[in-house]
This record gives sequence, C-alpha cells and structure tokens, in this order.
Amino acid sequence: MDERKVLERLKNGDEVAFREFFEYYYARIFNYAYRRIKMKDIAEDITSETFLKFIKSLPSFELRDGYHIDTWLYAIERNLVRDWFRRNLGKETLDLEEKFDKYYEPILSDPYETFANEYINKLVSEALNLLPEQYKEIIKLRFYERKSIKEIADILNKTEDATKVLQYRALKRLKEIIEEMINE
Amino acid sequence: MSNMDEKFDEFDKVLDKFLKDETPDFSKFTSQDVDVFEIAMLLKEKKRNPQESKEKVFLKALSSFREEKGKENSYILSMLLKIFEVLFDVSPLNNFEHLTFDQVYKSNEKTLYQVKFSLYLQSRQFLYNNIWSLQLPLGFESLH
Repeated sequence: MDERKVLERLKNGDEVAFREFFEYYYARIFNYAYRRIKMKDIAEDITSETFLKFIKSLPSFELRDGYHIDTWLYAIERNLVRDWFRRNLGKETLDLEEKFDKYYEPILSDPYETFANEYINKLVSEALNLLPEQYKEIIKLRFYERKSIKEIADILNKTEDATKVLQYRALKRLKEIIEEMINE
Repeated sequence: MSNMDEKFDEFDKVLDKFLKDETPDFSKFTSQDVDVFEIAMLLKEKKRNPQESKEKVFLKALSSFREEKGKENSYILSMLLKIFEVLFDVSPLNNFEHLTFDQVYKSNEKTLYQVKFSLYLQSRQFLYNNIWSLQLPLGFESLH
C-alpha cells in the first residue's frame, strides 16, 4: 500500500480509498485492543474510536519521511486503551503487562503473532503447574472449561461462597507465582 | 453476608460478565481486586475473530468519514456565500433581515433560504439589471 497516495485520496474524501484503508488496518487495530482488554465490545468501541479520531485528524495530518500511518494509528489506539484502563481499573497499565513488555514487542508488526506469544503462554502454564492442586483445578474449570461458580461448587462439593473465595485466592496466588518467575 | 463474602461475590460478578464477553462494572473494585483481575485477563482466550464485527465498525467509521467530508464542503459553500454577500451588498430589506445568507444556510432551512433568496432578488433592482445585462454575452433569449 502506497501510504502517501492513500492519504491523499483519504483527504479528498475518496470512499474507495477509505474501504481499502479500513480493510488493511482493521484486524490489526481490533486485535491489539482485544489482546489488551479481552472484551469484544470494548475492543470494538476502541477500534471504532481509533478510526474516528484518525479521520478527524486527517486534514492536519502530514506523513513525514520515515513515519508510517500505523505509527499514528497505534499512538491513537494506545492512548484510548490507556484511557479505558485508567477510567475503569484506576491505572493506565497493569503490572504484569508492563513486565511482559520487556520480553516481547507489543507494537505490532503482526499482532496475530503477538497474540500467540509463546513466552506468555509458557510462563502461565508453568505457573499453573506450580499451584496447589485445588487452586489449579478451580482455574482450569473456570477459565478453560468455562464452568459457572455453581457448577464448580457442585463438582468440588463446596458452597458457592466458599468456591468464590477459592477462586479469588487461586488467582491471587497465580499472580504471585508469575511475578516471582518474571523477577527471577 | 459478611463484608468479605460481599467482596468475593462482587469480584465473581465482574469475572462472570468478563468471561461471558459482557461489559462488567468495575466501580467497586479495589486496587487489590484489579491486581487479581489482571490474571483473569491473562487467562482468558487470546484470540477472537475480528471479522465478527467488522461491518458494524466499518459503517460507523464510514459515516464519520462522510460527516467530516460534509463539514469541509459546507465550509467551502459557506465561504462562497460570504463572498456573494460582500459582492452584492446583502443589507437585508426583507422579513428575514436579522439573518445573513450564511446563517440561513447553516440553519438547514431550505424553504427559508429559497424565500430569502427570491425576496432578495426582488428587492434588488440593480441585481436584476445586472442579470439582464448578461443575457447577450451568455446567449440567453430572455430571463423573463
């Protein structure tokens, strides 16, 4: 894609160029938001908002030598993601995410590859194996088998309240283990 | 239900919505809850088919793209109207004297605009004469 030509056509209001531009970037933008936030609706909103902000900035946008359109797009998107975290979880970046960033390239030659990041998968599965059996079981039932708390309570022969406590503690312990592994 | 039970219950409500791909309300989360929730984010599926919602997002973005383009066109037309006003001395002599052409155009009242324009033409003998004088060079038979 010749970025300068596309940009010129976009500035002239060419809708065919807009479709091409959207097709080229949509999956990358969506995947980045989804990888960070893991909620489909919010990832869609952020994707949409990224395009809208880019469109609004088009009249004044100039592509300097050595820069690419995606540099600008991802800058917009990263800010939107940070805003979302700040508004909803009270911090711009989560702790583990910051630490993982040291180990892989978060932006974004191919987000699908980033998604399947072997490092994170390996680390999580190693950490899971270090959990006490009861914690490991509840995490597998809840996250991999997608069972409800009630179903898990029946399987583990516990009350729902006790199962919720167990779930919380299992996640907390898993976080501690992952942090220990990263800090080693 | 004790405070601790409420806390775990609240956490599970958020987690349950999160896992069902609904949007949770995080307002009751403490910073410790956020730390623990980060693990849930890590454990949830990593991929999702982006095509599922592509058209919906495209239409929204396209509409904004058109809107921006429309704003630009509207700006150009508005500038032309201002030039027109200056050239032909639009000192209002009609019922809409408190409005300029530009303001009427921006108000999106097409009928009002047409009425104002025709009243303006009627009220300006010199403009009528100017148009009349253009007949020969433009090859019109008559503007009557």
